Order: sequence, then C-alpha cells, then structure tokens
Amino acid sequence: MTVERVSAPTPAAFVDAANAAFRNGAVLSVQARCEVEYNGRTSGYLGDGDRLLVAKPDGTFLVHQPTGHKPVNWMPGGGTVEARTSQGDAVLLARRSNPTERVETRLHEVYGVTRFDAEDGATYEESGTEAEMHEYIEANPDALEAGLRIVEHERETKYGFIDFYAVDGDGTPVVIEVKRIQATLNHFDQLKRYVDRYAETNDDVRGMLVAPSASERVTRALRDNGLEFVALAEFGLDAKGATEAKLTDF
Amino acid sequence: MFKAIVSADTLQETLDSVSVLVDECKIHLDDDTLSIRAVDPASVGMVDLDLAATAFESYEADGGLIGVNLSRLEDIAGMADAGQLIQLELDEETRKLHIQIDGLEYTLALIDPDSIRQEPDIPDLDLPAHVAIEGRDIDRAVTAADMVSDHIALGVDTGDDLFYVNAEGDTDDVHLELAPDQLIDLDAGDAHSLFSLDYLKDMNKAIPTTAEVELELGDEFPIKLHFDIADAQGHVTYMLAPRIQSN
Repeated sequence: MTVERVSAPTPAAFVDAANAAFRNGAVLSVQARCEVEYNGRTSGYLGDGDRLLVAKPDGTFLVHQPTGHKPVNWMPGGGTVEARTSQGDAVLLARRSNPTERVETRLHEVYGVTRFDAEDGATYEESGTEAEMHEYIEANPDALEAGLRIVEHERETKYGFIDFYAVDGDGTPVVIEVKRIQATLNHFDQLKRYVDRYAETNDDVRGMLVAPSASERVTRALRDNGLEFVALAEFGLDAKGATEAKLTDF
Repeated sequence: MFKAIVSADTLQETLDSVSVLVDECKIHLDDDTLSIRAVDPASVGMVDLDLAATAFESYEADGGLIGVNLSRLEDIAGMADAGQLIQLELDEETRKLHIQIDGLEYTLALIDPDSIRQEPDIPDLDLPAHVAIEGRDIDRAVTAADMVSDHIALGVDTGDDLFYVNAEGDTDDVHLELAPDQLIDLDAGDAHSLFSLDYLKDMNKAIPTTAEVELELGDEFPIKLHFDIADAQGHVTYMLAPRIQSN
C-alpha cells in the first residue's frame, strides 16, 4: 500500500511505525502535540502545541505550526531522523554533523501518523529562464531562421562566451546572443563587440540578437550596424506585460 | 583577530542597511575597514557597505571573515541604549563573537561563511543620469507611491531638466517632479526605469532622512543609490534591478 495511516498510536507503536518508514525510505507526516528544542548554530525552544511534522527520506525534517508557510523549525537534507521513546514520550530526533545541529521533538500526544511511499522522478523547471531559451534554440534553430545550423553552444572568446555560433543556409557564420528580458542597448553593445571580433578575420559574419522583445531604439541601433533581431515572444513577460529583471541580467 | 568598540547607533545603522535585503551575511574584518557585500535571494537587490575603522571607538582586525545571523545581532545591538558602547571580540577558537554591553555579555555563535550565499559581483554599469537628492525626498516619493502601486518609475527628463517619480495604480496615480533647485545636484541623461516598491521601501528604511543620496539611473537599467552612514565614516551602495516593460 502506498499510504498507511495510524490514528492515535501509543508512543511505542509510533516509534516502530516511524523507524520502519525511515528504513524503507518513505515520507512520514505526523500530527501531534509536541515541544521542540533546537541546538546548533544557536539554540531555541518551542513550547507545547499542535504541529504537523514531516520527515523525508533524505533526512529533511520540518516542524509546521497551524499557520505560516515556513516551518518554525527544520533540518535540511543530508542528516538523519530517528524515533525513540524517552520518559514515556515518543521523541523524533533530527540531526546533522556539519554544522552540528539537532532538532528534538518530544511528542506528548500523537493524533495520527501517515507513511507515504512516494515516488517522484520529476524536477521543477522554472519557465522563461535563459537556459530554457538556449535549449529551445538548440533544438529548433529554424525558429530563428530557416536553414540555420548551430555549430557550437557557448563558444569561449577573448571577450566572453558567445551564446551560439551558427551558420546560415548560405554557409555564412552567425554569432547569436540570447537574452531572457527585453533587449537593451547594453545587449546590443555586447553583440556588436562579438561580431566585430569575428569580422577581424571573416568579412561575412552576421550578428543576431534573440530576446522576447526589443524597443524601437534597440532595433534601430541593430539595423544601423548591420545586425539583426529575432523576437522569441513566447519566452517573454508575465500577465502584467512586464518582467522582473535580475542584477545578473546586466 | 578582531576586537572593537563601537557605539550602538553606528552598529545598528550598519546592520539595518544590510538586513533589509538578507538574513545572513559575511563580514570582512580588514585592518582598516569592515565591509559587507550581499545580494538578496532573488538577485534583484544588492548592498555594498564599508565602515572605516575610524567609525569605531577602537578597532583591531587582521583580515578575518565571519558569517553572522543579522537579525540575532540586531536584537543584541537593540539591547543597548543610544550612545551606549558595544564591545565586540571574536574568539577564533570557538568561532563565537563575544558581545558586551555595560556588563551584559552575549556570546553569539557564528555561521560558517561557506554556508552563506556567495557574495555578488557588482555589475559594471555606466549609468547616464546622476541625481543628488535628500533622503527625505526619497522617503516622500516612496511613501506616496506605495499608497497607489507596487511599482515606481524613476526617471530624468533631459528636455525639462527634471528628476521625476511616477506611480500608477488601478485608480490613483502619484507624480513628483524635482527641478535642479529642489535637488542637491542633477546631471541629466536619458533615464527611465521601473522598480519594485517592495525593495525600494526596504532600502528607504535604511536611508537617513538627512542623508545626501546619490542616484545613478539609466534607461531600463538597475539603479544605484549611494549614501553615507556613521558621520560619513561609512558608505553604503544599494543596487536594484529594474522591472522590464513590454512595448
């Protein structure tokens, strides 16, 4: 069975169920009245109250109060969680060694415990990242121009990494710079530097800036310098028609 | 080795200007300067702070690096009255910071600097517009904008030689224009960028109202805000990434 639930177990039954779950790599969630003590980089104490405790097979341990999105105490993955009885109570002890930290949860009353033999192979992918645009372009160079062929992804040059080095249908080299936000004049400058570098040894080099969008000013600057702009609008902008830039975009 | 005595006001001012962005930070303890550089988890806001040894009553350091939990250190600093002195001493052996305030001793466990988010590289930007403005005018603009919107546009009108602030809400708008005679200085250049008020509000909290704040602005570029703290013995630079608008 994927999910097994025990209501109001005795401390001994709880400890058996919890340790069996840890042994078998299951996710354990516990609804209990408990107190929590933390010792490590600092120390802290949380008095008696109803909490949701979650222990994951990677050693992650979370103590949730009935409100708030953040756990009030937690231990990141990499450590161990074990259950034992002490002075008549069930105790969950999560600890790790670097830095030395421990979260000890004394369960005065266990209302319920759920063991979940979960399987999940997926990873979260944030949409609209530059890496995602790169992947898309690598798989669909035709989206930029029919007949375009990618020669190299992230080619290193004296002036930094060129996102893509490609050749067009006529065999002319194309230097491609990709941006996840609306193209700025800074991005234009960057592309121009790369293209100038290639033009030193090759007369017929094209430069292409790829971004969700570009302002008039940027498209004009590109055009005046013999460079091109390709919009990949599907990677742009939230519902408000704007996107939060990061300092690393500049 | 690190041993220093500092006034509570100076320490609080220093910690406040960093804690508006991050919960934990690395502190560099060089022989003539204490410095902190940190970026918020979303990489939208950054702080770069220097506090000269002369800002302290006494200061001895030899290039150490410590990691601290800022809210904890702020709480301790908050135990001191204004003007009271706080004594700080690093125990290299136990990696703890001993803090003394008039007989009160607090031992603060430090955080392994390697477990703290990496310090940011400061983007090298040549921003066209420079504005020198009083801290209270920033406070006025941010407070008013916050009443109507969660974003604020800052820009320079090169034609009319003006620094302006715009906030557009669903129903109400806020607009503020400052001419050169209302500013400390204006070096006009094309600039218009939209910023998240959440961040700017937090940064504004750390800017003294009497401070002279230097702004560097561009067209859909990050803004830089420079100001002094601790009687000009300390210097803070904030950098904030813009929100990029579609056409």
